[in-house]
Amino acid sequence: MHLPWKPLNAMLVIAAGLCAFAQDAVADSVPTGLPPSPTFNITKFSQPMPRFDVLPRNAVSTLVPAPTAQSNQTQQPVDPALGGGSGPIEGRPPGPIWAHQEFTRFPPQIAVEVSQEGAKVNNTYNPGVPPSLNSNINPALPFHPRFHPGLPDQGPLAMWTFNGTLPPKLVIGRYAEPILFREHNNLPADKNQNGGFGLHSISTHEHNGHHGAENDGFTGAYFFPNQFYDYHWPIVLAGWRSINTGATDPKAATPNDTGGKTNVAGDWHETMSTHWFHDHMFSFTSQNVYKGMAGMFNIYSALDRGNEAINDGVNLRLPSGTSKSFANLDYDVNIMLADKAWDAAGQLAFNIFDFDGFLGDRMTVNLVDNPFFEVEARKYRFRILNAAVSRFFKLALSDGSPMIQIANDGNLLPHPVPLTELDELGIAERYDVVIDFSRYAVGSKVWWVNLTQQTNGKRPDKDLSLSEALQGSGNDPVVGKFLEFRIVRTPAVADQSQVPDPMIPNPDLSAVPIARTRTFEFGSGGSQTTLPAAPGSQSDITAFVGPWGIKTDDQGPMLDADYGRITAAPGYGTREVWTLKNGGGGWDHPIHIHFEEGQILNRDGDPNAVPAWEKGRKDVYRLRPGGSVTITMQFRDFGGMFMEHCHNTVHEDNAMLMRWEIDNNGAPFLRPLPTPIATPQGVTFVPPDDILPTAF
Amino acid sequence: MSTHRRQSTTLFVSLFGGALAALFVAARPAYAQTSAVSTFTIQVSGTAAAVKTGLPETVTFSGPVVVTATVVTDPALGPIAVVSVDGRGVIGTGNKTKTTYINSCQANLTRPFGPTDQVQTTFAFFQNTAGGYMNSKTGLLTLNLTYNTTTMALTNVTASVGTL
Repeated sequence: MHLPWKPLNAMLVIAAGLCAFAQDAVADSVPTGLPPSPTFNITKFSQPMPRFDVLPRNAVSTLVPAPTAQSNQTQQPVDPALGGGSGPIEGRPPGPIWAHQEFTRFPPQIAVEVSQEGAKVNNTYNPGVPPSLNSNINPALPFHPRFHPGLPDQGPLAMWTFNGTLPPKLVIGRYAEPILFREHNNLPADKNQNGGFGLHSISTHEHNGHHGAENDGFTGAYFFPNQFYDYHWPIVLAGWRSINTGATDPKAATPNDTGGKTNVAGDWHETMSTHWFHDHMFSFTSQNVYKGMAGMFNIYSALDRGNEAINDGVNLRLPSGTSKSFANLDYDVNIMLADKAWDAAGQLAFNIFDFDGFLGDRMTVNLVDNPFFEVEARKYRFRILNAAVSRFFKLALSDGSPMIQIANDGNLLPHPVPLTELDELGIAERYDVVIDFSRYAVGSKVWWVNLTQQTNGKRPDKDLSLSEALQGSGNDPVVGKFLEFRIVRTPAVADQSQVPDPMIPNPDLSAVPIARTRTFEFGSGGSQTTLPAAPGSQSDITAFVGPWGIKTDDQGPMLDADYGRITAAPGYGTREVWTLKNGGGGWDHPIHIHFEEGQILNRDGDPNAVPAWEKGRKDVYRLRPGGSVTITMQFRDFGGMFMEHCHNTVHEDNAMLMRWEIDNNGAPFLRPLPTPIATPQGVTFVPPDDILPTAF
Repeated sequence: MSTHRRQSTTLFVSLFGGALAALFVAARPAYAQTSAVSTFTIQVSGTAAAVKTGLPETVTFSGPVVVTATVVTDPALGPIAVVSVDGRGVIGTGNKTKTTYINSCQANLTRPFGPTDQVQTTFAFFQNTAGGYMNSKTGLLTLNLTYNTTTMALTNVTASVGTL
């Protein structure tokens, strides 16, 4: 039987990386831990920023084989490098527990089919807008997998992305139009063919989808080269089983193709907008995401229509465009921020030995180095994602002009917040902002500036003033200007967009009794209680040992990750209050809770310490040094096993992650849920190897 | 000023599987983690000149700013401060029209800890009318912080408001 990794195997993978980096480690630089990335004489702002590459939305009938509720276990030969023999074509765990929940009620209407593979030239780039709105990039020309035209193409082992190409991918979705996201694993069968880092088994998390756990990208539900995995994203409003079940509320609606809308069930206060999707492979998330396994997902609704002209009393008319009934991208721009580093050959490089976190020394936007972006003199919406491994960003415009923050973590805020400096953006957080470029003269320029200096993966060193940041930082090359906005013309069509107040008030959970309170402390000094594996246990697969851990309910030790351990099991339909505590030191942890959005009740015990931009729903909670966050969530609609972890993905991988589950809603679920053990020859199940005393 | 102090002890034991632990993550010593939280509320005043803001008049600001410093020790990196600022109580008044300006001045700033620190942060201010935030202008808040390096508490804060 082939196993993708074990602690010992992980060491071997790391040892393989040692060959690539052993010399480099001697010549540590700040902040990568590697030699400084050579510049190849490229200069900032000398290339355009590409829009995301919009993935085709196909008919479900194009999928061969057709998707099935339960995993397709049709057998195929398995590559000898993966242990040989035969195994299933789909890597999703078999049987009823991992069947798509509500597959009949919400049958897929759109197919998005992708592959995960090594870097190659893109000959089918679709930015979703004409070249005039994409800094005159000609999409008909081959788009090379490189950070700058002056840098070499990334090799197929250095960079792994969706479809193997750049720019990063964008999925377009809307409520009540379920998507079947089929992902093929076309990575090398030999796990050592990884360019020094990354692992070829993968699990894709739709962050922060309100879907059944079988579609959540559970860290242990990974699949192997030459397999596929069908993710079913029903795209429903939370509360659809109990709130507005008759779909009579006009604000709970989805755009149709003719400019109107169709009502849907659920709570419109749960409407979501800006998601992303990324690899979640156990103990290798940082390396795989850094290699390029990340994309974004815009969800459209009657409220957040992606059409700024439709005035029906529901549409918020945020900057977008007018030509299509929904999902106009003209003035609605996805932004992926990520710091990178490359070696002497210009190939992506990663320091796998620093368990505090990894920092790059080059700033990329949409995976190109320090670009420019042409804009019209009007309002734009930017959906900003921090897709870094360990770096925090703090954004301001170079002239200090205000932006208006409208969303946090994919959820429109109750009220817009004008800000001249955004808060530190933690890893995986998303801030949507509106910038009005009509204040600038045509021909002028303004820059986005990163104010946060960071030289250690644990946490930022310092937030600089704008004037300081504009001078750069000798310690951190990622401080300063990183994106140049060029105001190139007045808009050809009048700007009809608005930034209304209010936008989306929070769901009212006050009538739902608090069933439980739980406390999770995130800190160093983690220990592993499930290794060595007991007879019958598979903790040699499911458990990891690392410097980071989570202590639960102030009981027992700070525990390292083991996805065979059940840490919490909220009752289906119940509401709970969770406190997330920073366990010590001056570091920061952006904590992500899967599946359910939360509302922050207080910070450090003080409800007045919750800033205006955190008063909406969130899915990532920055603890801040010495801090704590108390949140409330309701667990409903779907079940299965989910996760909670630090989204500094180096911390997550080493081993600040835990499993929680919703398993008491009757068949097909069991209490407790069995743990999947993935192999190329098929997935087996074992009982949980540990259940914390306060889990149930 | 209000201040309180938290203390806890954490044992940092790094394990990463046998030989690798010995190579790269040798057990680190136990350390005492300490944090101190202190809060000052001060009155600030200042002006934003029309030539800087583009408004038809100078705006005069006055009101309270609440500054909370959370200082946390770190065994490897030294102490760090998170300076939280809430200046939403500061009101601006147009010198000619007497128009009222409100603001959204909230910030959480990571700062190195030392005996003194000067913090500058910008903020948006705007007319107190429906949709006034759509025409926000930029103000500048400058804070001069003094700490007791033994207790890690703020001992003095002065501040001023102006423009970039």
